[in-house]
Amino acid sequence: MINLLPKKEEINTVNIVKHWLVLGSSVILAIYLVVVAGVLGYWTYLSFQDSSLTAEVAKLSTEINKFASLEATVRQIDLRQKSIDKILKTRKPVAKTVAKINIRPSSVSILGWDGTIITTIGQNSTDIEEYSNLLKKSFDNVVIDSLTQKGSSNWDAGIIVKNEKP
Amino acid sequence: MKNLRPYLWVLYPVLVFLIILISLTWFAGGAGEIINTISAKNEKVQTELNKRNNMQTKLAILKGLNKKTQLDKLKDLSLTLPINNQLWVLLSEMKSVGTVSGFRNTTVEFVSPNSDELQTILEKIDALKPLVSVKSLQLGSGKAKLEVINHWEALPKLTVALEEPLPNLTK
Repeated sequence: MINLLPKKEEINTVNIVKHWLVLGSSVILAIYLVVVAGVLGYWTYLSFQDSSLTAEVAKLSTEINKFASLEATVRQIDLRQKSIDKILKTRKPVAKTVAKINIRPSSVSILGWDGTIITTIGQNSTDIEEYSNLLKKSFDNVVIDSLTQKGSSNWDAGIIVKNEKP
Repeated sequence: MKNLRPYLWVLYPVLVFLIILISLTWFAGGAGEIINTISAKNEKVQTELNKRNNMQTKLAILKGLNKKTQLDKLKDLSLTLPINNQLWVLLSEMKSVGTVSGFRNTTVEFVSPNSDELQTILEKIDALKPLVSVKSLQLGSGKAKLEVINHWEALPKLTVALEEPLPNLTK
């Protein structure tokens, strides 16, 4: 076995410094070479993976291109469905609003509606009041705008309805 | 020269230092540059990997789809939302839900409905294909005047990246 340590009689500060510098340099060189080898190895691995992935992607592109028209159809379906959903979600529920307005006492008839004012005719003012109370369940700001007695048994009324409750 | 011999050992650590310094700076352009190059390469590989995975999934889905079924689905949706403006279709739709007394582009007048009949007309309009929305309405004097929108949408031109995933097909 080779003894790299200096002989006992040669141990002095200069030799200790010399020893550690040489040993340290060797260790550093070894670590450096290991690091270099590791980096090169990792780089080679990445390059290999890169080139094989590129080839695979190119092959998949060719395969997918064969289904281009099918893909376009699928995407058009998706877009059209989204547009339909959006329309259905955003269009005014006018039928429901009219259904709410139509909840009324049987003696009250609706003569007109312009989106704000309901023109009604009722057999007595109590029915008109009852109708306005029913409207209050579905709308905010329900105001009897006008109330006119016509003849002995008919009452005309204009009822303002705003802000449909959700 | 003989005087220098005891100090020759210094050359070794100096040489090691020089080898590391020169190889790092001269051969590869610095340690920072090496790290940057490797991380860029790694990033590229990860991107390609994602791209490959997306494409594999997409291809598998496409292979499992029936072209005729998809075309029928698109055709069916195009009945709900046509690809062009069809005013004559709107007119026939309006005639199918009530007695039309006037029609001008998107304004339709129905003959003397009372509010209950109007509700029925509106419910029928809601169920129509192609889709129609009622923008505004006026009821009175024996008629109902409706402002309607007949919905349509042209087929958009699509430019899609090959690796872009397909939309959700569960609907």
